[in-house]
Amino acid sequence: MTVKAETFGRAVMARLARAGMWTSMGLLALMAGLIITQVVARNFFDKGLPWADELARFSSVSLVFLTIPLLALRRDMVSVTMLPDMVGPNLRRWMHLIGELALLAFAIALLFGFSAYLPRAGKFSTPAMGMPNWIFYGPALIGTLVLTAAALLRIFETLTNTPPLDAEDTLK
Amino acid sequence: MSLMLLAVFLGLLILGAPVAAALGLSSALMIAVNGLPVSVLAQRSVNALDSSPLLAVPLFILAASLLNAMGVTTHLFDLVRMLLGRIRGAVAQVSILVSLVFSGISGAALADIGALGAVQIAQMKAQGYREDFAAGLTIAAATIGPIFPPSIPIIIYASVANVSAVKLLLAGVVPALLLTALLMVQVGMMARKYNFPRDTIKPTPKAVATKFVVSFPALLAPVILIGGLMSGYFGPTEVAGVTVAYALLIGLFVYRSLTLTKILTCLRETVEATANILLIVSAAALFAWVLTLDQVPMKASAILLGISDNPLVLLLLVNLLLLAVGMILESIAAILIIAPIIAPALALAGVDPLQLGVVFVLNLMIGLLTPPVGMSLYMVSIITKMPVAVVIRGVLPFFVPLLLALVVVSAVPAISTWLPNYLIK
Repeated sequence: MTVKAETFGRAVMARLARAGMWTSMGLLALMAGLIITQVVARNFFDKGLPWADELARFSSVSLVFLTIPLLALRRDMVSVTMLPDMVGPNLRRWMHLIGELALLAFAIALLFGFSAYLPRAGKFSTPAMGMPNWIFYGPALIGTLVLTAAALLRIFETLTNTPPLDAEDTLK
Repeated sequence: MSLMLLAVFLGLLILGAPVAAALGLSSALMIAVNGLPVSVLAQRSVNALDSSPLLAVPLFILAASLLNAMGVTTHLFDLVRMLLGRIRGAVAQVSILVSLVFSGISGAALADIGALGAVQIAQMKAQGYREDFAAGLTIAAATIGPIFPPSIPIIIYASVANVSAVKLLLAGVVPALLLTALLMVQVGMMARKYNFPRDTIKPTPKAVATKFVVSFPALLAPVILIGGLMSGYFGPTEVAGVTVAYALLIGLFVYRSLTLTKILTCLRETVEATANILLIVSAAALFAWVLTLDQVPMKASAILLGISDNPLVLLLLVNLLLLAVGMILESIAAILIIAPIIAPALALAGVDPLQLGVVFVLNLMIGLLTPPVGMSLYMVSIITKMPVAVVIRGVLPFFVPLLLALVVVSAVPAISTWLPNYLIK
């Protein structure tokens, strides 16, 4: 039963993380295209494109939050592993658990932050495109929700001694 | 409040929690304990990333990734080998020069090691160099990258210290050249002492010319990039975008080695690296906000100016502090936490912000070579399967040129300030 739940959770999370990564790759391509368009518009047509700058910034913010769940599932987030690498496997597992718990607590704190901030900020729009703040902050909120689920799964997997996803799992 | 914040952060960091989670969670705890508005958590962490200058970070990573994927690094390495092959310790000197050329494309030490490390170390080992020397030199040469434009740490420093990113990027040019020269002198001295071999390559003028023609489009990338910055025609983000476009053009139509699969791989690698760096930026913005609320920058200014108001003495103190910080803190997090604290005090004492920016980044890049958080040491250890202790032994001799460069850059402001002030009035 445990194995099934773990496998199901892992499959669902791997799909969500993959979707986030592909979306982020699209956003990165869009961002690069927008910056080049801005350069061309400014230098050849003497025209500023504030909407392009805003859309590029939206892409940048979104790609960070949409990719983080994948890195969390792979335990690929930047960390200082000197001490965990030096200790035995049992103690290392506890240290990993503390790391996963810290990540979960951070993600939950961010969700609390969004719940306090968005009801007020969501009434406004961005200056250049008039994009509602709910949309601007949407990918960050979705990414944080998925990160919360990913951290929960990692805690469960650490307790059951299941290794993190590897790069291949998230590329299929 | 700040002491508790630092204790929680360092505790989590040492236990191996992700740096971003350690920064973000310790800040969130302080916000909750002190009854501050929790909406700040979402607002600060997202707004820290909603920044035009930071768009340069993913674009520079993407440009370097594309150029590397099309095999440019091999061409560059071969060309410089052909030009320098007959001097003693040639392959080691080539490694330093190729790092300088590649640093004009890439903006991060770890990216340079990732792109060049395997080739450099394999070439040196094949010609009889000791493996610890090869690893040490590769790591030391990679510190040139974040000083020479484009530089991700410099862009991030500029964004938090309110310094012109273009001027600060240009401020890194002369110190990077100085560092290159000092490393080459060190290798030259070691080559004589240990009788390093000359290169086995014996190219004909025709072969050199052919290799130059093949390498020329790649060599133009740093020229476009630095020329664009120097001309004042482009900002860092725009020049990064232009470099991406240029890399795509030469990869698709000149070298014809960029396939859709390779482009997708570059996009994926860039997205992963960017998310890792920028989530730390986001969480560190929260951390810095809590420190500011506790008036830590003002208190630190008072303490520093109480010790001395001599810019040189203050820079010496900052160097000692940053060398220690660089040993225990990841470099981007260190910039975001420490720069807002000490930059105002040093500006008050008359230290040029451009000089301070270069000193700051150079210090933290030396920190990449020092345990326990010496990311470069671990990266080379992973690439080469060498034990970290062997890598550390190899890097020790190179602390001499690195620290000498730091002393010179700290003592002579003009090394950092002359070029940007000459080009941009």
